[in-house]
Amino acid sequence: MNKNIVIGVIGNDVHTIGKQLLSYAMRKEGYSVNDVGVSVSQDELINAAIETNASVIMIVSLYGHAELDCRGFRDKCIEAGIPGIKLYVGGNLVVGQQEWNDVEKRFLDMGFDRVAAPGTEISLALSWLKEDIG
Amino acid sequence: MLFIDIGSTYTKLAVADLEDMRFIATASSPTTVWDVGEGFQKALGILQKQDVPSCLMEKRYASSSAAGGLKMISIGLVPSLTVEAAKMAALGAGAKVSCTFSFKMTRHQMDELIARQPDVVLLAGGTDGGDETTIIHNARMLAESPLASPVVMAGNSKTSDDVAAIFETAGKYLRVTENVMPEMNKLNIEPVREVIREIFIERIIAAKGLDKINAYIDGIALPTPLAVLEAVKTIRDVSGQDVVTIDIGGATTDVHSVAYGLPTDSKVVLKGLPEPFAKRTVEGDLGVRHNISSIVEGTGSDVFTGLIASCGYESDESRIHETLDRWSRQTECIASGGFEKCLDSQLAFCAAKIAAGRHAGSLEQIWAPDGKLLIQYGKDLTGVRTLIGTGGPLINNEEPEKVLKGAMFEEENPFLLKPKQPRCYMDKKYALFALGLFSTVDRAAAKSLAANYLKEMEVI
Repeated sequence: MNKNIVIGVIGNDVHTIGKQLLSYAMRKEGYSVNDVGVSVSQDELINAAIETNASVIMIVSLYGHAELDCRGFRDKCIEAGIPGIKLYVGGNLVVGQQEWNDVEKRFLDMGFDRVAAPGTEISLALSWLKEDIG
Repeated sequence: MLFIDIGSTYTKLAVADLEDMRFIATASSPTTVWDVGEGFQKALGILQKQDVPSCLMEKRYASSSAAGGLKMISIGLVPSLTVEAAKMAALGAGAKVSCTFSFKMTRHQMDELIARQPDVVLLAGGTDGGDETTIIHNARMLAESPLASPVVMAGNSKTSDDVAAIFETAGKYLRVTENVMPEMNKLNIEPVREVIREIFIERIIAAKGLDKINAYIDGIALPTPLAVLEAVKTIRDVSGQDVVTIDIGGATTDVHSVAYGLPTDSKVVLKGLPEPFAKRTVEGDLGVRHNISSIVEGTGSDVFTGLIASCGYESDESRIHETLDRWSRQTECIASGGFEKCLDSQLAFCAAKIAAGRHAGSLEQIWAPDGKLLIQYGKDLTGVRTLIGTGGPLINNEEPEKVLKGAMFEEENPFLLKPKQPRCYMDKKYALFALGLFSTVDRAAAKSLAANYLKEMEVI
């Protein structure tokens, strides 16, 4: 698998710092990071993945509405001809004090491969990448 | 120095005195399609009658709009990404993009492409190191088709050897250049623009019989729209201020902007594919003779009738329709009398309004948990201070500043980022193409010429 990654902050969220830190760390590890920016739609992420032949789409969200923003994402990937692409999501995904295991399960059920809880170390994300795409 | 523009309806000549750095004379004569030399000599005759010293006409440079324009088709992968990038590159090279194709092309689409008889095909797709399968598929489709037009490849550079081999096997003409979108959301159109210019000069000029002009001059240097864009770039350099140019014609309306157009408010988020600093758009459905109906439709026919009424003419719909129908059939018709002139002005105004609206960026307001967010797509041209009008219908208009208002910001449509308070200029001598040609010959001297001409162009 190639080392191309697409990353962006989804929905109406403009919090960019987490994404920037992740991108920096991934580039240092030799990944080709295609940053589509903040406040991006599902389509923008998928289009970027098609054009760059990405192995992973990494969705960043801080404002608590990721569940709504990510709904149907895997289906859209299948429709767009990239059914096997790895989908990562992380940040502050939901509002309120919710049990993390429930949250994680909901995202896994939506077709995500990796779900990162608030406060996840960047090193963990890098180890997932190593495992998934080398 | 003599500048010539051939190939459009009129062959235009402009003479510049390089001591004074001014345009001293201009002339035009209908282009003679059977032998472009004839039209040229007629126009030259007009200059000679004006006692233009022949020593000023020894050095000659020409641009050409290639008899109906340089027709291009661009192919990419995703419509909003490499297809759009390829389209912007082709437009920036002075071409008319008749249609675009995305993803893997089908045989049916290939038939359609061939039927459109493009002068050049631009093949893009994939970022560098990105998708390979689509561009290779499309390269095969092109190579195996009966297409005879030259192809420029400006896609994923990792595939360039494979694509070159496919074309070589098929014995077809291909030029490989840098990717139009080497990375996500990074535009790289200069190399494509240069290759298209070279193909235009090496192949298209001769293919259209325009090389007969070579008996009188040293050859054609640029496609006309590219010459105009070069002129606008020089004016931007000289004035130090962002420039928008609107070129209204019988068949199309072109808009050029030389501006970064970044958000003017720090709270605005810029989205989408970045746009070129020197951006050109061509509206093939907005000509004030060849496609009157789409201008009226785009404006709304009630609104259009209202505009005519606001000039003090009765909103006599049948009279309006009768005149517009006649102009659509006889496209060389020139407006005469108050009513027709009013109609002509309003057509140009509406063409300017729609074309500038499509060219300029826009704002979208969305509500996020932490308040209102403004998203900007395209260029913010509200701060542009220089608005230049050109093209026959505008140059011959008695009140061009009224027409140019169409290209300006509208209070009732504040999310459309057109220039707010620009100064208006008119290409009175029809010399922008000449300024652009001169810019490619001697950029430093062209700046003085531009500075002088800009003063002359100001509409007071």
